[in-house]
Amino acid sequence: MIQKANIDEQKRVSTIADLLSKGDRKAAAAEYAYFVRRYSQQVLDFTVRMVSNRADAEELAQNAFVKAFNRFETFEGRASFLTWVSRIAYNESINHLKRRKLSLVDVDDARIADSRIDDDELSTGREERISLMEDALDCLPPDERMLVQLYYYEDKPLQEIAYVMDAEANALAVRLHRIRKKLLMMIKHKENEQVER
Amino acid sequence: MNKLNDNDIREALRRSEEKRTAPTVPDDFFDSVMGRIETEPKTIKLWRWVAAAACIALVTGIGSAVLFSGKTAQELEMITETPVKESAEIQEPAVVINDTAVEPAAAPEPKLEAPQPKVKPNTKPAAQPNPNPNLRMERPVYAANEPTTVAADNETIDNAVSQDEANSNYAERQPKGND
Repeated sequence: MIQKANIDEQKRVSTIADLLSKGDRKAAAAEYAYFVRRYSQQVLDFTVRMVSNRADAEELAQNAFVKAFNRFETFEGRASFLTWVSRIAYNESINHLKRRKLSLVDVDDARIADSRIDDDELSTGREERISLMEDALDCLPPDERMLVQLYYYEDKPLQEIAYVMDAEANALAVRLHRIRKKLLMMIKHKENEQVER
Repeated sequence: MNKLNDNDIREALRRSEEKRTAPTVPDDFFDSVMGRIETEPKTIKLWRWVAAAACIALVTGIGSAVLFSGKTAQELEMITETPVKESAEIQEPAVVINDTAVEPAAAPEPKLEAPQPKVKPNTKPAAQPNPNPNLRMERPVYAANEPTTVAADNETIDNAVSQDEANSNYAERQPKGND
């Protein structure tokens, strides 16, 4: 289930929507300032994870807040405000990466389909395996890295991640499996290199 | 979907986050966002009104074109319904001069065009019996071999006139019948 907003935020969202419907943009902006102060850190952190350039990440975070206000009438309230603005920030980041023609797809995907892994292979607990895993995670494309981050580190459900990334939950599940295989392939390749030395 | 354990991945992520320094929000971040929100022009929704006006104009233009073309078709139908009647009527003069010294002009009779005979080109016309040698023979239409110049025409006429006179003189020289 998508994280629901608390009661206080729901009231603020309703107030902003009413003010905007009446055309009182200034009063609505005054109410909206609460959300900007509250979530600017999280949104900026989100965009920094997507794009490496700090200046670009700050601009993308600002764009996300501005667009969220301009499109406030489209906020249905199914998710929390943070989840909704994170979705906008994700789309802004993807568009930014596409404009910069940065790769979002790993070229080794063709070999991953044939490989098979056991679930225990990614739960060894070995120090060297974890160290190699850190390096492998840094090699993932930004969107796959974000998926892994949201699922494994922030422990968010697939439904909420699907809302943020504007995708189907089933498609994300398939994608997650492919990422796991890819990580294991990369780790085994590095282990073989270390053995050969 | 059951939650994947994949503890190696989780541990690796945790360690990465510990090493990572979270970005700090710049001091002017809030003012920049609020400034852009307050000064954002309302042109975002203006295009909707422009699009709506364009659609209305387009529909109105199409409707007008359909109405105009419909009227024109009706007018054409009215015109085509009465072509025979007009040609059959005899047009009478608008002003009638009632002068006894002058006979009123007779109404022009409708011209009856003689059917054009079918004649092959480059062929001599068949010899037609002349009912009255005194009549001037009109130049046949199909006379391909006949002279076409004015001088040649005059010569032909002269020949015909001389022949006519010759015939009349011959008639005068003939003895008259007994009274």
